[in-house]
Amino acid sequence: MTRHGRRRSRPETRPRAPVAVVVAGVIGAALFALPLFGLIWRVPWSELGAVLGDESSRTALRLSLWCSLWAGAISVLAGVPLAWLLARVRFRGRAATRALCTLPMVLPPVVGGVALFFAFGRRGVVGQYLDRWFDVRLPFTTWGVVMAQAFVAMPFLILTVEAALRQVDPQIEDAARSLGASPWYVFRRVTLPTIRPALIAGAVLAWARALGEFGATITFAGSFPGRTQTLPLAVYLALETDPRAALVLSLVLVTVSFAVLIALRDHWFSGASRLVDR
Amino acid sequence: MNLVAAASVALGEFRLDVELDIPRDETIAVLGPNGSGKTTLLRVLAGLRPLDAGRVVFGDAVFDDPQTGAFVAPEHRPIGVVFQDYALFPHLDATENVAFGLRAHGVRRGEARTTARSWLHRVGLGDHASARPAELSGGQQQRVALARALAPEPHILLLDEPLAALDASSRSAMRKELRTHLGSFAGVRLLVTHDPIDAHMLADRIVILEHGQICQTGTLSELAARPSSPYVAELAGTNLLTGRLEGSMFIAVSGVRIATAGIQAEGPGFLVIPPSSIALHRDRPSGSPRNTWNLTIVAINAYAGRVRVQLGGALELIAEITPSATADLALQPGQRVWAAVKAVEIHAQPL
Amino acid sequence: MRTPWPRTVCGPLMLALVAVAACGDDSDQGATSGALDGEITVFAASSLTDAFTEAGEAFHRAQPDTTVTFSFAASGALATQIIEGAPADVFASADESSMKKLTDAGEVAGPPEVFARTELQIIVGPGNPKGITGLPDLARDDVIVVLCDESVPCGVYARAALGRAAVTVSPASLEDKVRGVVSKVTLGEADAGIVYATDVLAAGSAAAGVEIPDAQNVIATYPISVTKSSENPRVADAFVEFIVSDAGRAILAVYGFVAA
Repeated sequence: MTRHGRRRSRPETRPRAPVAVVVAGVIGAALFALPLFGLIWRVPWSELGAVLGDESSRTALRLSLWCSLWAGAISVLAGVPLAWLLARVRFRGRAATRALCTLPMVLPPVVGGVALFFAFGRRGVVGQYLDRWFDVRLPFTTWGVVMAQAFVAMPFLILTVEAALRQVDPQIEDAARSLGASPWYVFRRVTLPTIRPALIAGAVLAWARALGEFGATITFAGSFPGRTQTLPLAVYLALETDPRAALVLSLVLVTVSFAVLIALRDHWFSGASRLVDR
Repeated sequence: MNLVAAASVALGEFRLDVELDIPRDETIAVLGPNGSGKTTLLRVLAGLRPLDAGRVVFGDAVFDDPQTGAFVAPEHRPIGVVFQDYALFPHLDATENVAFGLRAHGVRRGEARTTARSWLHRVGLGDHASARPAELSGGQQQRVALARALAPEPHILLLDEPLAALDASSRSAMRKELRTHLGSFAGVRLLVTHDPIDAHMLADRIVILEHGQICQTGTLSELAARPSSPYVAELAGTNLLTGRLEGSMFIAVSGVRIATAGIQAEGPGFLVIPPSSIALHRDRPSGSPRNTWNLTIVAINAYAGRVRVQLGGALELIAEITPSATADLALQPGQRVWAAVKAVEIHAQPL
Repeated sequence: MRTPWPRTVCGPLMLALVAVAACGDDSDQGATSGALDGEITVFAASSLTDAFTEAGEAFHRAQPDTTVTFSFAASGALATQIIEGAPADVFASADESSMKKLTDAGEVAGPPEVFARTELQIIVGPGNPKGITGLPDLARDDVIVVLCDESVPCGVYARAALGRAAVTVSPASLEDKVRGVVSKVTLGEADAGIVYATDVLAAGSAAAGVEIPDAQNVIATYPISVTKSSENPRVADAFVEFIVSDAGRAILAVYGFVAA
């Protein structure tokens, strides 16, 4: 741009975000950041060692991680096929099925827990046969925790993956089939790699939801140290007698989640960021 | 082995009803406007869409027969398909893309990669073996798509608008390359396109598809001489001459020199002369047209209120004039007339 | 208005009174005595849910210009909330220790009063299908037992009772509130639990109770107090008085609470 002989070199910049968007974004971020800062501020750092060294805290954390990882895995193994059906197959009642899958997201978790009783409890529709024929009981067991967590977490995965599947270019799947790939080969070698970022994001979301799950867990699986007392339950109980310990345990929960989410950040956005940087 | 199809497909209001017999020794182009059903036809032949009625047979193998319930899925048909937007796998590099078909057939990884690399070399992309599709230009992607379709050595090659996604400059170069590869392919070759020049340059025989029906087949000159519909006339019935460009002068294969305007080039090229731009005179015309030739009338055909005069001799051209002009000039087959066309009406392009 | 006021003063005076009432202080009562108005919030242990809700309705009928809002939860959690600044006018706890937490923090207006007692009972499914007769039966292999966690009063009492009976139990779950134990038994997932007698009564036909002999039983005492930070101490005091009055006791008795 020349004006009266002056030359100004213009550095290449990305278009700036509108001010209103930035402001709203900052407020949104504050909504998340402030409670976290509050938590960090109130944590009794002197008691950190004592609480963390306590066997019950470590047990609760270990149990939480074990259960949430299994719940995440189940969410993926059962959720991906379900998402595929919802995205690709036209069947009667598809919309109703999709609504059903998102039900746990709107249901209060405690209600979800009660509902699980009706299905898998001792007198439940399926549960009574599990008990009678296979001597399998889910309530009050660790697998009961996994079940309760998977129940609330799976919708997150289903929604994410279904959306991604709908966006896959059908031409590349046609191309794969024309090259001799069976439908399963296409799914394995073409579809899954294409939706990988969404799949990982969905799995992490599901895992995170499972980790923090409280209502359905305590209702369906109960609370017993080492067996069903996950970290959120331990925090809630600690709040009654020892709020400072509760704060420390909460901090542990937050730290673990943070660490995982930050570590996966690159994978999460790998697909999208490549488009932005080009 | 011929690919024989009697295909009937209903897509809502639209119906595709064609009968084709495609031998191995010629490249067929299915030419038609958008919405004519070309892509549907290709998908039916590939097995990506089942027939509603009819049969698709390749040699002895029945690919699709709704009556008996026989259906061979695409992955079991010996086909190679080049899709309109190439449909390259974005998460794989060029070599892996080309190797995909081989690996899907059970070839071991190392062997597949080696074969893939040699194919990439054949299409001139040896240096880009590790490039991702996003890093390649349109023309390069097209070549990868072609190599990918050819690597598993199919017996049937299907191309969907192979040059449509390319810009004008890459198009002519790719057209030549594609022609070479098609020539060296030993199986059934079918391409669908809406561009008559692509059809003419790449195929030996053109099938015109309109509203789901085949209305005419033949070479471009045959179609041009006797167009069966206005579409065919407009689309296929145009004069196409190949030859050499020297500056702005075009030299046809027969040696005739034709003056063009608006182009300066050296080397092989082709000319398009719209039939309606050719004026016919009994006597040698004076005036501005630089291009005048004395030609013999081979045939006269009337259709839809127009007359097409097929001319032969030094040049083979088709001129389109009104019936009254035909009467005024008292044109008869076998007569000699003067044909004139202005340089500015001629469209020349390097090959 | 008993004495006749000159008209010229009536109007402006009425306006002034209305203005004061509108922007002022709820604690400033009207000219007549005996009638209270204003809002109070009562934090009460979850085992008091049914009893206090009815008491609240009775109190409202007696003092129509008052509104009582309840918050029912575990006593410990409520005490913590009050210490953290939750707006409560009255606190009714299911155990002494939670009240002590509040007293130690200086959050009570005056010495707490014990207004009710209840004792523990074993809760079982309707018809007592497993034939439970006492605490020792809870140690049976075929009985699924749930208890309150030790961090809540009912859990502390339950353990004390089991200790007195010299019974060791492996519970399937340690609930965070007594209603959690109740719901597990009424839903049929657990065979037995230790709760307050009032909870068994509240469960109605969905459960049955098995008494615990006095020698093993533990008496839970319920203290009540007005909080120091109450914004409406007059109404708060009135509510506490109502609870300890004969009328209040009668209501509590219906739900199984025994007079202190």
